[in-house]
Amino acid sequence: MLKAGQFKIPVHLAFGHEAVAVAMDLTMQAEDALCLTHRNGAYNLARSKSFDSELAHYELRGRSGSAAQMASMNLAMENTGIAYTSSILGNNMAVGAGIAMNRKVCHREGIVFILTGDGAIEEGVFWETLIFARSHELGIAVVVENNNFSLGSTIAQRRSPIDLSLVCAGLGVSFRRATGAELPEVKAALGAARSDASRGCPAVIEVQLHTFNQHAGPTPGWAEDPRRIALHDGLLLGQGDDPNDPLVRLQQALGEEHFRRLAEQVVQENAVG
Amino acid sequence: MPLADPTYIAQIIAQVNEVTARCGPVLLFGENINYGSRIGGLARGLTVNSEGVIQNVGNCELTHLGVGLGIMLDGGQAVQFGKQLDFIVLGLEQACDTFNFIRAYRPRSSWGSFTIFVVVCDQGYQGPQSSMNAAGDFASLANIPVYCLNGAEDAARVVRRHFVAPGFRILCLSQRHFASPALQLPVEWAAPDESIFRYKSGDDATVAAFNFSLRDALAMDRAFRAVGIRSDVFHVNFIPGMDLAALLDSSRRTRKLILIDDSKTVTKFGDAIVTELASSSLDVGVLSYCRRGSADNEYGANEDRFLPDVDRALAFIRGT
Repeated sequence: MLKAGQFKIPVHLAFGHEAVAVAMDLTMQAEDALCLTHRNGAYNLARSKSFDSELAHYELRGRSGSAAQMASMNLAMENTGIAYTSSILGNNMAVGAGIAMNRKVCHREGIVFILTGDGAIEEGVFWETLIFARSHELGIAVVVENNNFSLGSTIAQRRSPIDLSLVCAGLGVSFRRATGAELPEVKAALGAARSDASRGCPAVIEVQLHTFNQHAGPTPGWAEDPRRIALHDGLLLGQGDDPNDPLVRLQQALGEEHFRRLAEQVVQENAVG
Repeated sequence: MPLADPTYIAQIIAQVNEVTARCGPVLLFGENINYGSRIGGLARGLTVNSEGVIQNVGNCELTHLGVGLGIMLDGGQAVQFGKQLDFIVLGLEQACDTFNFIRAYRPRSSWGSFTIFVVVCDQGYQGPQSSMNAAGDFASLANIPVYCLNGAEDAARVVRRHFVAPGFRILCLSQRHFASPALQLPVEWAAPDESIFRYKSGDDATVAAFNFSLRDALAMDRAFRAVGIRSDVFHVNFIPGMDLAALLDSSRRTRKLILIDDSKTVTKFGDAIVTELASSSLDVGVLSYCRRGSADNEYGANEDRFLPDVDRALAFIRGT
C-alpha cells in the first residue's frame, strides 16, 4: 500500500522489528507505559491487536479531531499502554524519564519502556537521560533497536562505533544484548530489564535488527538500496544472507518446502491485493 | 503571615509557597534548588507540602524540559526552576514538539501541569552569553503562554492561578529586580486570563509595557502626572491569541499609544496592537520604545539599561 502511494502520510515500515514488538507486548504489564519512535507501526499493531484500527489512523479516517487521526509519525493508539510517540530522535527518552519520575513521586507502580535506535544514541539527550534516570533511580528500560541504518547511511558510513555495554557500565546502568530475530531471546532480555527497572535500576537492551533496506524493495532516489526481496518476487533469499535475518531464521524454522509454499502464498495474496 | 516590605523575589516565593502548601504531589526541580545559593536566590525559602518533592538535578536542560512534559503527560505536576532564560533554549525542541503531541492527541482532562519558572538575566554585566532577555520569543516559538512577573499583584495572581494549573507555561522573573522592594501597587483591572493588567488610568495616553518594562512605564506615568497628563498604564504578558480589546479600546480613546518593550527581540507583541489599530479608521499615533535590531554592544558586559526618553514621550502626547 505504501509503495502504491495509497497514503497521504509518511509511514516508516519496520520489517524485521516484529519479534521485538511481540516480545514487548508479552512483557509489558498493565501499569507499564511505552514511549515509541516514528518507526512504531509494529508496536501499535502488537499492542492494539487490530490492523484495521491502525490503518484507520494511516488513512486519516474519521472526523477531524477524532481518535483515528493520528497518522503515523506520532502514532500512540489509545488503550495500548503507549503513552507517547516521537518522531524526533531521542526526544522520547526524556519524556519517558518524566513519566517514570511521576510514578516515583506519586508512588505509582509500573515501569516505562522507551524505544530508540542506533541513530538516536548519537543524540546528547540519550546520554543526559541515562544520567538523569540513574541519578534518580527511575524505572526505565531503554530498547535500542540497532538496525545499522540512520536514514540511508550505515553506522560505518556516518560515525565511529559505540560500545553500549561500556557506556552503560560507566553509568551504572544494566545492559543486555539480544538478537531481534528471535522472540524468546528478546522476551527474556526485556523481562530481565523490566525486573531491573522495577527496582529503580535503569536498563538498556540493544537489539540487533535487520530492517527495511532488506525487505521493503527499492527506495526511489537510493541507488545503493539492495533490492534483494520484494513481495512481487516472493520471499526470495539471496546468496550470503545474514544468518540473523528474520526471513533466513524463518526458513530455517519452517524448512525449505514450507517456506517455499509460504512464499507462493504471499505472492498470490499480493497479486490479489 | 504577610511579609513586611518584601523584596521582589521574596514576595513571589511567598506566593509560590502558598500554592505548593496545598497542591498535592508536585515535583519542584532545578540545579542547586536546595543547595548552595538556591539558584542565585530563586528558590530560597521554597517549601512544599508533605506529598511534594524539592529535587536537585544535574546539568541536562534538554532532558529537564522533556521530564517536565513527561510528568505532565502522565497527569502529574512539575515545576522546573531555571537560572537563566538562555538555558531554556537548550530544551526548546521539547517545548515545541512534545507539547504539540500532547495538545494534539491527549484530552485536556488528562493533562497534568508543567511550569518553567526561570530568571531572565537582565541586570547587565553578566556577559554576552547571559544577555538574552526576550521572554516573548518563547511564547512565539512554542505557542504557549509566557508571563513576566512585574508588580506584586500581577505576580501573585499569575502564580496563584497558573503555577500548578493543568497545561504548560513559562513564568519569568527579572534578575535586576530581585533585591528591589516588591512593586506594591493595586491592579485596577485585569483580563480574566491574566494576559493584561491595568495599573493606572487616564484619558491622555495609553502606555503598554511588555517584558519587564512596567517599572519604566510607571516612572513615565509619574512624570506625566507631574505636568497634569494622565495615562492608562498596562502590563501585558505574552499570551498567544490573547484578547487585545482593552488595549485597543484605550488607544482609540486616548489616540496616543506608547509601547515600551525592554526585550531584545525582532518580533514584538506590540506590533499586533499596531496592526489592529491600523485596520481601523481611527487615527492613533504610536510611539514605540523598543530594542528591535539591537546593536552588538548591547550584548556585552555593560549596564544594559533600557531608558525610555520621557521628554520625547511628553512631546508626542502634546503633539509638539
